[in-house]
Amino acid sequence: MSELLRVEGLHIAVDGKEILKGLDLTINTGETHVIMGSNGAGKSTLFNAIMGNPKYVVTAGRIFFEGKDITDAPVNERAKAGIFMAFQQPIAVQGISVENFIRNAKSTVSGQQQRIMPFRRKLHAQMEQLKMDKSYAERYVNDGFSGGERKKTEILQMCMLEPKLTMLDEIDSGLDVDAVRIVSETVSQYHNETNSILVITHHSEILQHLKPDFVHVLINGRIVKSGDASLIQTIEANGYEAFRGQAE
Amino acid sequence: MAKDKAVVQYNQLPRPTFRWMKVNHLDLEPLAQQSVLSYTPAERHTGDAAVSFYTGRQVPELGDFQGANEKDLKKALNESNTGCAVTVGDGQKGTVWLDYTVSAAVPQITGQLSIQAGDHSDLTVYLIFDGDAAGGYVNFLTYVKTGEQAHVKISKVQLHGHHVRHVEHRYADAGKESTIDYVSAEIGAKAAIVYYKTDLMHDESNFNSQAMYLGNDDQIVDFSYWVPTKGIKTNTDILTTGALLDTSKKYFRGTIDFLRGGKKAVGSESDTCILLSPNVHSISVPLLLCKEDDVVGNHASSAGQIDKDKLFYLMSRGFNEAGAQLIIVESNIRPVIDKLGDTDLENKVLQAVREKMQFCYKKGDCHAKCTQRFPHLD
Repeated sequence: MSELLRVEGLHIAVDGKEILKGLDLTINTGETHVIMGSNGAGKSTLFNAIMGNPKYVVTAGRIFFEGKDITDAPVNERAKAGIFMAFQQPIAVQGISVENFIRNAKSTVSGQQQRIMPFRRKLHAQMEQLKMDKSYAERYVNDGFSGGERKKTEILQMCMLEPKLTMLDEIDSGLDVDAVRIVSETVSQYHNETNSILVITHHSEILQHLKPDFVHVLINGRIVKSGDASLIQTIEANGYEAFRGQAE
Repeated sequence: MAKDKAVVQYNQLPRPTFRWMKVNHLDLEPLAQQSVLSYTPAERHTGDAAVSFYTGRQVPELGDFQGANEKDLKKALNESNTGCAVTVGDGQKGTVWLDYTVSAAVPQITGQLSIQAGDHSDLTVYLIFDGDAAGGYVNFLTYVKTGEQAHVKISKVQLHGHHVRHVEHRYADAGKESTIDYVSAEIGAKAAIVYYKTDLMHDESNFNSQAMYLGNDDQIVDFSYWVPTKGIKTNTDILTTGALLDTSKKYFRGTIDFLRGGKKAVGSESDTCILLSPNVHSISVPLLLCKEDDVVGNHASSAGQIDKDKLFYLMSRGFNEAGAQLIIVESNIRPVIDKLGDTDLENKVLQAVREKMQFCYKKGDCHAKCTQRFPHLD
């Protein structure tokens, strides 16, 4: 297993306020990592920083992807390098159908024009797996979609874009029990030894399929505890209170 | 504009507001008028529509219709060099395509189009304006009259070159329970000035207008609407949406005039503009005038830079900033383009939009990005 992502001493500020305060994280290919933490701990901030959202300013620290320093790389270059973020609140883009959007995104990240028919066949197969009606491919991206449909569309994009690192930001929020199962099964099937998954979640249901290799507890902008999947039970039983002392 | 310069006023607000706001009308320099040459547009039609061309005037008196400019309107009424009458009889259905092309041979078109739709009829007119010529000028009057429960849709695509001043005066008189739909794509011309007045004097008559624009260079796009409503349960829906590049300007003046007696009328107007440069101007005056209590009126206007969250979302899918901006602009205007109803025309408009966006970014480091700038969005 080779190193895929390395975050070193990362400090992130938003509107002048420091959110991440020296975060270290290493993810190797083939691994699944879970970030857990109370609301406002900085979990989504970490994802946005890795993806390169300009709102999140790196005040110190570096981010490496496949050994290359991407701390100052623009968002699209990170996407092309193989980083994908499934948004907690996916944005609606009127005027462009789901199929056209993903096909163009795929052409862009892969550098190869996607032929319509093979692409469509694959898209429809993925939609079937996600139990999405094929008519969604013709609809504008996320426009008028329910919360669950938007999350499924994010996973559909992941399957089609085939990133090396997938970051799932509370992909299970707003999903019913069946949808959580479908989404987690699809992510699990996509996951293999050549790609890695980084998950933010507050619920353990999604982890029944994803089987994390590492669980990290993020408190007040720092990872205060890392461990294996057994850490989830500890958190579920005791909450985050026990870790707060370690964050001081 | 300097005070000592001669100016022509266009699109005067029907109910002017404070002068210091500088929104009552558009001032432009006068354009040299050339001799009027006879002209016949390219035409085809299907269904029951009857199309004939004429010289002189076939449009009736238009009452207090002021047009985009009184003098230009008078000229279009009385000195037209191209007249076209489109009619569909009671219960008939038809589609007409009319293409008016400005060229060096015919740089100026002064024309009129008279559309008469009988009761229960259904007519679609595709109106295309294109071509370019030095001193180009289009001064065009469109007259629409619908019978009871008739439906008339005019899909207009304006793709003139940058030397043309395009002025359209559009008047419509909607019959009882009839619907008039306008879908417009104003892409070209140095100045694109459109003045719409639709009288909703009959019960349950409907007026819907959707227009998109994309201004670049020093282009001016000026929309003016005046919709007096006196019929009961009339419905008005006006939407303009677009984006501005470089130093272009857009004016939107929408006046929905709820007159006494027009009970249970519903009217809404909205104007959305994406500002792609700090030097553009977007001026919006959505007015609701009300002399009747029992009505519902909504107006909205928004102008702003690219939504940063949307930009981040798109860039996180691999699109560079220019490509993401194009997608956002397209996402803003595509719903209107998609309603034009003719695939060839829709594609023409999309292509023109993408060309304009490319032109904008040629000023920057374009070669490194060009391969991604125009993702094949179709």
